[in-house]
Amino acid sequence: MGVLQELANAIIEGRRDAAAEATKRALAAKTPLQDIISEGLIAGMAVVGDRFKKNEYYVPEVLIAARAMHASLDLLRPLLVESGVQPRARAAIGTVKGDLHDIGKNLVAMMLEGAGFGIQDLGVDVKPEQFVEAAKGGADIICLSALLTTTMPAMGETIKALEQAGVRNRVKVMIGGAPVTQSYADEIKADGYAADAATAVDKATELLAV
Amino acid sequence: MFTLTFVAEQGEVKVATAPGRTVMEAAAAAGLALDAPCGGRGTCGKCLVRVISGELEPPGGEELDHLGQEELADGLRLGCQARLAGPATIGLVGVLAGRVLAEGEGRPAELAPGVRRVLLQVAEPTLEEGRGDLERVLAELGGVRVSPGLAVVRDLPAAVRAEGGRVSALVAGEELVGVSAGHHPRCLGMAVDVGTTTVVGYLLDLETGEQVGMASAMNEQAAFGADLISRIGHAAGGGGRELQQRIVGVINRLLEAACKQAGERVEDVCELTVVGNTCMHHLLLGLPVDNLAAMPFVPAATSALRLSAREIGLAAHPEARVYCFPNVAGFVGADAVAVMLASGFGHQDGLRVAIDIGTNGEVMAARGGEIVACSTAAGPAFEGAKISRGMRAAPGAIDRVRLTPQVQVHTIEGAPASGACGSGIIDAVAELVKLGVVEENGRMLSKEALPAWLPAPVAERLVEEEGKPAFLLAEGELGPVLLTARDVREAQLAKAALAAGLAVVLDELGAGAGEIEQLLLAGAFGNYIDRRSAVVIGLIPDLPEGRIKPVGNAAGAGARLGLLSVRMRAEAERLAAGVRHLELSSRPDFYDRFTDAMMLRPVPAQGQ
Repeated sequence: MGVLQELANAIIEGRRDAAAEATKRALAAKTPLQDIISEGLIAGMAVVGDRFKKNEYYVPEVLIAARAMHASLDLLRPLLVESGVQPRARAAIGTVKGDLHDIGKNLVAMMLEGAGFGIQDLGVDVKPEQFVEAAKGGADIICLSALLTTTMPAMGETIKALEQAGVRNRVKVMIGGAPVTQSYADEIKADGYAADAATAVDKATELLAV
Repeated sequence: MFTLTFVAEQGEVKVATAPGRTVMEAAAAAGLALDAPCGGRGTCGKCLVRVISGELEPPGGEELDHLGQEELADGLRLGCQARLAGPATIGLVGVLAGRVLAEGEGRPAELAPGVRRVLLQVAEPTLEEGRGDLERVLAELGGVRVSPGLAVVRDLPAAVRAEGGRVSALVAGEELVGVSAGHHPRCLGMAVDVGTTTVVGYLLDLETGEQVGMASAMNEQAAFGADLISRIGHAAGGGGRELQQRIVGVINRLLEAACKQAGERVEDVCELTVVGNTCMHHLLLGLPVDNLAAMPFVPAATSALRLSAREIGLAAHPEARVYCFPNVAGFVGADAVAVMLASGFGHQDGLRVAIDIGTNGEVMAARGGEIVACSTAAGPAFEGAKISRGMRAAPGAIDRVRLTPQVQVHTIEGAPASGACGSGIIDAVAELVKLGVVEENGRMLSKEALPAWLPAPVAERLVEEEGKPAFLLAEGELGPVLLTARDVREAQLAKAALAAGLAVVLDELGAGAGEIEQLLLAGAFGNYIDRRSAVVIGLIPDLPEGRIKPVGNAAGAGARLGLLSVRMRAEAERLAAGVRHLELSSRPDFYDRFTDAMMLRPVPAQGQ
């Protein structure tokens, strides 16, 4: 089995050290970065996402797989920066103002990253202005997360802020979170809604046509 | 033959019995039922009784399997195994009063109530000396500060004249709080635990400290949402008053019910203490709750509040006082403070941890003078919500499950199964994990993947629902009661939150789980959860059985302590002020802890 298949498996099985070790071997063998990412990380996380959709994998497995993916990414990151390899698209993601639930948001970030997106994680309690800055800074898609019905309104506020700053048309806006629904997304004129981390990747890909 | 005395819910019950009989047999003869899920075989450990006085035959194998040294020293025995030797008095701790847990860990307190009633004979007014009505009352009281409220002075003249100068003065500390006509010596108080789901009131005689009545009811705010966030949402949308009226209504009915039970008058309830989580506290007092639901989750007030029953709308003595325990933070409230008070936090050097296994999932720990607390927001999975066949603990709820050596599924009151409640869910998950039907990562195997050695009675219960694996717990009246693969995931998440919270709390104190001297399981859950199931799935660390203690409704016990003693109130306030509150979601280590804690496996008690 090739080292990249080993890396993908280590990620699927959530084996952190094995993922790091396979990554080092791949780098030592001068495997192109792009290949390590697509055949190792993206391929591995794609299987994870697929199993998640089928309910074979659940939050624990995704978190554990993501830890393994990060172990690999941490080794690749400095080299990625040097080499100028571009992600397929850039996503800015955060939990909206007033809310600090982040596990769901982190899952989406991980799955997007695993699918080759560049991630700017703005964290939690993110004010609309911060999302506007991210849009101005080159993000292709803005991902908003909220877990409470009481903080959801900040999503509408964020979209308004993007409009007022004149950057609404530069980005796609995708929303998600336990109380969020497609009809709410339609109401605030978001571009898309995803019910979970795996479908988030599909939706983002669809919206950006990347 | 000799006489055995049982101390049961309803009081003392005596029965004539003979040596060699088991406590359970004698109880049955006395018309008292001990909880016996395993039918008296000595396997479940649930029929606990307490020997108050007298000798029984020494404990045998089954008893020693279930009871640790400390418990035996405490007088605890298994009712189905313990054999009588002579006259004795036995307390029936194993008799579960409905499914609302009222009894909590007792901690002795010196009686120092907040109010007292003084019977006075007020002198007749005369033309010559012309003292006012208030002044003639105060003269009889001697040394009482003059600061009665307007209502007191307003009602006073009629009260003084109604029964020829005979009045009952209600005094709080050095302050005259009320005056009513006639001599009414009764001075009662009620300690109220306002739970998100259940509300319990304990009626106490403030002169003797005795509990004379108790009543409980469902928190009717649940009509607007089972969980706090839903209720906050309702309040934010203008429903705050409605929520307040609901809970006030429930407490007023508890007052009536408890007084009726005790043959007392509601007007003789002169003081109340109230505990509840911060949201419940705020909704009862009509305080705004919107800020509780958004960062930085700040309560309107955390200090203890001394209010009048009248201004809250509680119907007791017209001038009754209400002491609301202090809160700690947005999601660690007065009830957590009460648990800490009842558990003697701060009085021991050794590491003591209390966990409230409910929706809010508070974890509190104390060592030496340090106290740390957090809310894990575990979610209502363990209270039956989000579980496909989940339900609250009520007749028909599966509350005990064993799959080996035989399949035993017990429902509350033996009623036909209609769902599973928290303790049943935890048992089911633990048993399935032990058998490997559910893997440590939480995945339930499909029928095809089951190991061949799995006993047929278990294997045949593995079925499918909507193409996904599920385990048949019981054929219920309304359809099969299944535990689905998704249900296991929900339980897994709730357990991970609690376990991770405990891990963070221990980290904060720089302690290992093995250093825990006492792990107190509080809340309705604590008493019903099977400790071994909880250890198997890693909900609590694998500590020696004697160190894990269910303490029942410790919040209620704390509320009672505060009602009986103003010194306990001061202690509660010191505790609340001294707690270091941890906001789990802002801690970088929580995430890792949460991921690790998802695994359904025992947490070793390291650092012994």
